[in-house]
Amino acid sequence: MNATLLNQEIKTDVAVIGGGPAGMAAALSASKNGAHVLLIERDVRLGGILNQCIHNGFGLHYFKEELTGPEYAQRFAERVLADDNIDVLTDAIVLSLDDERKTLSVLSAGGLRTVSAGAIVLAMGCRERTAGAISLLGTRPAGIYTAGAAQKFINHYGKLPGKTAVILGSGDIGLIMARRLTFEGATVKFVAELMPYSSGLKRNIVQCLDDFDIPLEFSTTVTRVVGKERVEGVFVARVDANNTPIPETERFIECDTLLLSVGLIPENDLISDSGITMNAITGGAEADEWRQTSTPGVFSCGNVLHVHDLADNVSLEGEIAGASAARVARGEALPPCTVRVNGTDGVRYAMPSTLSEGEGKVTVFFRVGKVFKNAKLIVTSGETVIAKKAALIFTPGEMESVSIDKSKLCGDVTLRIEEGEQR
Amino acid sequence: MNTYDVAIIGAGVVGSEIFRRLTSLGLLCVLVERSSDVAEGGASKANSGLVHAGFDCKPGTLKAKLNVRGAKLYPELCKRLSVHFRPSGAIVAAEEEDREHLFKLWEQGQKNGVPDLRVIERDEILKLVPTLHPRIACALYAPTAGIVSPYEMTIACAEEGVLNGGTVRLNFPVTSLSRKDGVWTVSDGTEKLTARAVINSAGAQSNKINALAGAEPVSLSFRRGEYVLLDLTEGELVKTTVFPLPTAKGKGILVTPTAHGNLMLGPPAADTEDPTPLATQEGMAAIRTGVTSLVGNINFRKGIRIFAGTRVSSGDDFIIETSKLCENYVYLAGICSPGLSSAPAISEYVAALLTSFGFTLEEKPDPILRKPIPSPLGMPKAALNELIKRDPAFGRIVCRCEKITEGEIVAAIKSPIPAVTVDAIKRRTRAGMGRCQGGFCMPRVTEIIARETGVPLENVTKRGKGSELLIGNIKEVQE
Repeated sequence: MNATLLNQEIKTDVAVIGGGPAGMAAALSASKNGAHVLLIERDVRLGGILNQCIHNGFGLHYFKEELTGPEYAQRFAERVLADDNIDVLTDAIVLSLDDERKTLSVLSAGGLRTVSAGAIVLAMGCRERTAGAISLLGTRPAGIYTAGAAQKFINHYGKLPGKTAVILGSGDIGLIMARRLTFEGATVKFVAELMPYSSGLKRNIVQCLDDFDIPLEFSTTVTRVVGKERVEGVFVARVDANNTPIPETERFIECDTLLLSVGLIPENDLISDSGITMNAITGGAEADEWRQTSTPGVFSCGNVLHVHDLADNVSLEGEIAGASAARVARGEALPPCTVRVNGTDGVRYAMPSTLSEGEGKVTVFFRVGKVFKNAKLIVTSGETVIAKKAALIFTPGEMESVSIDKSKLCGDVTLRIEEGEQR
Repeated sequence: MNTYDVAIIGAGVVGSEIFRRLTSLGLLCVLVERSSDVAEGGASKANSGLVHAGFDCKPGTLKAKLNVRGAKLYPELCKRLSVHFRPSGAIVAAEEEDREHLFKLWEQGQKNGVPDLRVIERDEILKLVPTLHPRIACALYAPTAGIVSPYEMTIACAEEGVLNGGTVRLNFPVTSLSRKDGVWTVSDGTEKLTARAVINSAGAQSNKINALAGAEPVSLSFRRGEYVLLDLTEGELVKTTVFPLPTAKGKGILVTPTAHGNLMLGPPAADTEDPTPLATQEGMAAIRTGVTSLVGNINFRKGIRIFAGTRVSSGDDFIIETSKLCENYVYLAGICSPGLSSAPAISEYVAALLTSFGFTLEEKPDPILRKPIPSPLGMPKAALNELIKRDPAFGRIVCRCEKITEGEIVAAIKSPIPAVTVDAIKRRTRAGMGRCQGGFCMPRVTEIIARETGVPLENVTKRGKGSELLIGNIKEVQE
């Protein structure tokens, strides 16, 4: 129900912060598990970033259909709004959070309110890395956008940010925008990627760049921007093994737009003052099999926990967090997670970081730190190998998963990559 | 069309403060600015934001006199303008072998009349800078120094002038200045304004304006400098502004909290012919070297923005003169550091010069004071809910990182000097200054500007004509 909540103080079983795919899945799952839910969303509608992702490719796993972002979001939003156990507060933002007391301070056009919850689910998503964060040099004209901001202008407002573009970063958003700009009459001259590999999905490289003959160069970066009031061009250069630009390779590309797709950062500023343990590698909280953080009753899911590639996985993660939050809210204790999960030898991180003992299968997500070809993921528990997964390629830009049979657990779990022969 | 008493050319902090003071003294003033906003055109939006104590100026100079006087006037003026002034003091940190230098600086400060200056030892410095570099042994501590937002100051001064009868003309690049029958005509090629006197406070353009007027030639030199702004989370690293020992190039690369709680590093100094702000590799490297020899544990990964400014100097001192070649004409040139600090004293000084033009200056009683835009942050709950009841837009957050509401943005558009560009909104509300740097809010800010000013989205600019954000509709959309 989309409620106009008139109370200054709101009590609820589960408060979900963020109404994107993670939050909506968490809210539905919590409700299904008997909780009364308050879902708080800062935009005027539910859907999160999916509302501006009008390309398709969503739902291949979750719905076994190929949907656009808004379609995928709508499947959840409709169910959320029809669910009498879920109160939705849109155009509202959480100003502060007390993780110990499980209280939130929420601001909206209805005023400043305090929410007390039995459990909290963090689903705030992530923000884009900025020009400042990558120390982009040169002048400061109009025409420099993060890919997401450009996407909002095109897909939501129907406006073109520029005529000729260079894109820095082969992250998925940048790749999608390369195609989008081309469809709408702009020319994308060049995509530069600092690393020697792409940070986006292979299918996007093919469908967004290769299919449109847009050149992509690895180990290349934008060294500076030129232009007084509006971008007039950029200098690009190859970088060496230390990511330092090689001056002799510098060349000028004329353009009026620079898009930055240089990484996503989980948006955890709400919990930066709390005692919640953070994971320095993911930028999100440390979380166990139930997606519970170090503060009991506070859960995290979706991009705010670790940056995903597929909305389908975000929804699955949201379901786990929501169901678990509902159980805690009604006083149930969750099975303790004592089995540590570590990534080593090429595995940059694994999520969740701890598992409970018991029966049943659990999915562990992971990302590698560099490209491995013809390699195997080896999962050991104690001394025993309990799972393996072979792949033609493991790459940092694609989140992977492995299914673990908990009945096989006999000690802390380690995920590592066994390298194959390099082609 | 009225003839103004005074036309002030250049709406930086100095021009705006002159505008404010002369208006408060009963003169009818017009403040003319070539760019799209006050503080937009030059150094006033891109400097260290420091109110220096005044020990760094050569004794006997105009800089020394006006800096010390300005620092004295600042707290009161900021209170009047409702501008936040942080009385956080400043230190010049030195290694043991440079103690003599420090003492010389102290002596200079004494000559300049800087109050409460003293040398402190490492144990006292550590209270202000817990992660002090191990080699720093002593420091000159100036408790009268402070921190202010320079563009907030500029806007506030200009607004007070407007509220009390002055006029601000933006997007007015002066292309001709002529005097006839005791009256100046100031024109942008289309429109003509007339005034009895002209004040040139045009910063990097002050030489060009003098040339137009037929006044004394002025030669300017420019020095560029970058700043790195770090996330609000780093704002507590140092409790005061930390300088190295000054050199011939200037005050050096410093570490300072900002008025709003960020941490700021910079600026280096590179001579340049072109005053356009520019961030360079050399500048960034110089900042890193400079600050790490003063303060430890600086988390460069928390950088959210680099910006750059250009200082304009003309010789070693401020030039604030009545022209001997033109009647009723005052020109200012080379107002580099400590220009911001000196602004309230500069306006006093200029007002005194105007008496020689036959103006009678008298403090107007009961001036209208400008009110800052209400900010929900930090407002007590009851007051905030009252505000939101009156105007629900103050409950709708647009800039998530800095928690800025639609109400504040609309208030900025409707303020005495309307903000109609993205950067003007940013300066008045801080929307876009947070860790995502406008990634989320910029499209919405653009939409609100378009809605409130009745123009299509593609007419909205970053900072005036030529900096349009969008070029038009996408192919799909039929208008």
